[in-house]
Amino acid sequence: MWMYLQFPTLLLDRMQVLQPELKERPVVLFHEQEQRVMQTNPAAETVGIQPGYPLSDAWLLADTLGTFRWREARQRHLLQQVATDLYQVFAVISLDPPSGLWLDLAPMQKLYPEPQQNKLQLQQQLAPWELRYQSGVGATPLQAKMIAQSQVSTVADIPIGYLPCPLPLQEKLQRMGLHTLGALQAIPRALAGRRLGKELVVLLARIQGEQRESLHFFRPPVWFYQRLELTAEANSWQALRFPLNRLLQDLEHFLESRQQETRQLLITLYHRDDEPTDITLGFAHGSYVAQELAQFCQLKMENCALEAPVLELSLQARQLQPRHGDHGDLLQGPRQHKKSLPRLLNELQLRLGQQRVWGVQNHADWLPEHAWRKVLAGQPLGQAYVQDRPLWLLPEPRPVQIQHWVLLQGPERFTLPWWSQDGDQICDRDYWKARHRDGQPGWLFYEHQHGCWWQHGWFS
Amino acid sequence: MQPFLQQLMDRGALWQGRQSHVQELAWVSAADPLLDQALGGGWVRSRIHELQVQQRFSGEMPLLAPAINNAVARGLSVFWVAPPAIPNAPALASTGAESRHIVLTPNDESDALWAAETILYSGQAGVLLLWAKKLSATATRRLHLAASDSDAYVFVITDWQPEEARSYGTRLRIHHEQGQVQWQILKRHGGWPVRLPRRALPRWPHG
Repeated sequence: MWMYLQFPTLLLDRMQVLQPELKERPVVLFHEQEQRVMQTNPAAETVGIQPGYPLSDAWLLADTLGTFRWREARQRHLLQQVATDLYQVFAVISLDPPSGLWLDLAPMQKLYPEPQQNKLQLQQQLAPWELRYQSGVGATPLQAKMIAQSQVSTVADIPIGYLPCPLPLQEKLQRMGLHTLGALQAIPRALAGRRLGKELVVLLARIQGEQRESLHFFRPPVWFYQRLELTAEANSWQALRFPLNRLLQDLEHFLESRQQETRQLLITLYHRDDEPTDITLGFAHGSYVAQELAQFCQLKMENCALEAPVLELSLQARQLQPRHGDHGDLLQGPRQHKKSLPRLLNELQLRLGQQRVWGVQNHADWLPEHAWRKVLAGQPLGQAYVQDRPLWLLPEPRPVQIQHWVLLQGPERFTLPWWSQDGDQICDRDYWKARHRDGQPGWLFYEHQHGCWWQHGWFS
Repeated sequence: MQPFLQQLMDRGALWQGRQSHVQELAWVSAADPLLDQALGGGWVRSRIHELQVQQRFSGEMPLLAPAINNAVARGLSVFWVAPPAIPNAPALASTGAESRHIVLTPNDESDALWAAETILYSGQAGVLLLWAKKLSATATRRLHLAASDSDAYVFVITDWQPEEARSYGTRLRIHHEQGQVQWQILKRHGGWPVRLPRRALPRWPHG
């Protein structure tokens, strides 16, 4: 069994969900070349605008009409998103762009034994999308599609006009007095083939299921992309926040259903004439909660001004990774934190900059510069491999006047092994603990090659 | 309440005999028995403590080692905001292999203050160390509010400051001369300012 779903106003319905203010006035999508109305919203239908009308007629019927270009690519993409969502409850989906898709019900029979359950699942899954759709069930894909489009109850009642064949052939059938599919099927196949051509025979075989339909089965995308047209030009970041939040909620839904999290967002702002602006947000730790991501965006965007008014907005999330939850201690109970550490670190990095927040970690090496490492913030310190080191290390050793210092303890000699890569910069050193004439204990070394004293750290 | 009175309280110019909300105070040692005694037990959690030093590296860090160890024991992180040099990992080993030290090197002081506030409100910090040249009364007040909402020991390490009123829990001035330190307590909980006897420069504990 197959089910066909037809979304007559797919793109417009979606725009209304993303921008609820559109619902209040008549809005149509029009075909740019033909200047014809493609999709209408309920408000437009009440004033009498129907798909197929010339755009000029639509303007006459409603003076507050909102018009947007119908974009096929956008609608195809949207159909994919719908299919991605349906993939959660239906295993075999085949797209019929630009506005329909098939669901194969046979594999789902074990899960949903009652035919009614299919409908119920579908309703539940599509409810948040607020899409208008027509569905039809048939033994073959073509039957399901024609029933969905014509909304008749049996296959025999399908009007000839819904047959997927060229218009001249349809007219020919009508002239012969064949108005329904049932009437056409009643004619012996051989006779029909002789009178009307081989094409019709093949079509009838497809409708009957005697010839297998070659459908491409849908696979869910591996990363997230959505693009959104704004109702009005946005001049400030504030105006972008609401639409962006919508996209982030979709992203959360996408990630939630895959148990994944993202480490990178790419927001693209499209302008009228200028090149699009790309804003990349990288996170040290994955995140999937829309509210959290919105706050990160806020932190990033607060400081930058928009170069030009924004017409459209898109959101991409590519670096997806499986989630690893921090479940806390079972016995101690959940910790009373207001914010998780990864989230805090993400916020700090976004505001201060990626390289300005880091952790320190011990590293197995003798050389003071290499005995520690800058690591991702939040990593534990690790075991120390050397002892008796100063608390503070200067970022770069600095030359000192040895007269200001009293040497206390030493020397501790460092010689680079012959295989080391650092041989050019670092030569043999003698480290001393010393006291400055002001009294602070410091860590000095004498470099033999250059014959001078350097300070490398402080003990206090 | 009188707006004028509120203004005085906001500036921290008014000493209040009784806190309006009773809160259980947690102390941690300040690494020296005399100093502990003078501070009434040591450093108090959820307050900010100011350490004024004329020169960096004059023995201020060893006083904070017990607080850092306490943070690690509680499973919380230690935040170093705008430190004067790199905290050296091998020397920090005395705080334990599992301790998390997070270093922030903000561009300017406003970023540093924003970071400190965010960290404190997140509840993730066990110890927050903030190095600053000079903090305004407003900045101190905001930091104080964030600290009292947190579970952290908060230390601000600055240059010597003029003795204006600020909302610090403790103000400690470190006099350092020839390897000897003297602690001058400018403000403390439940006591008058006091100067402690000279001591040898304290050392960071090696683990």
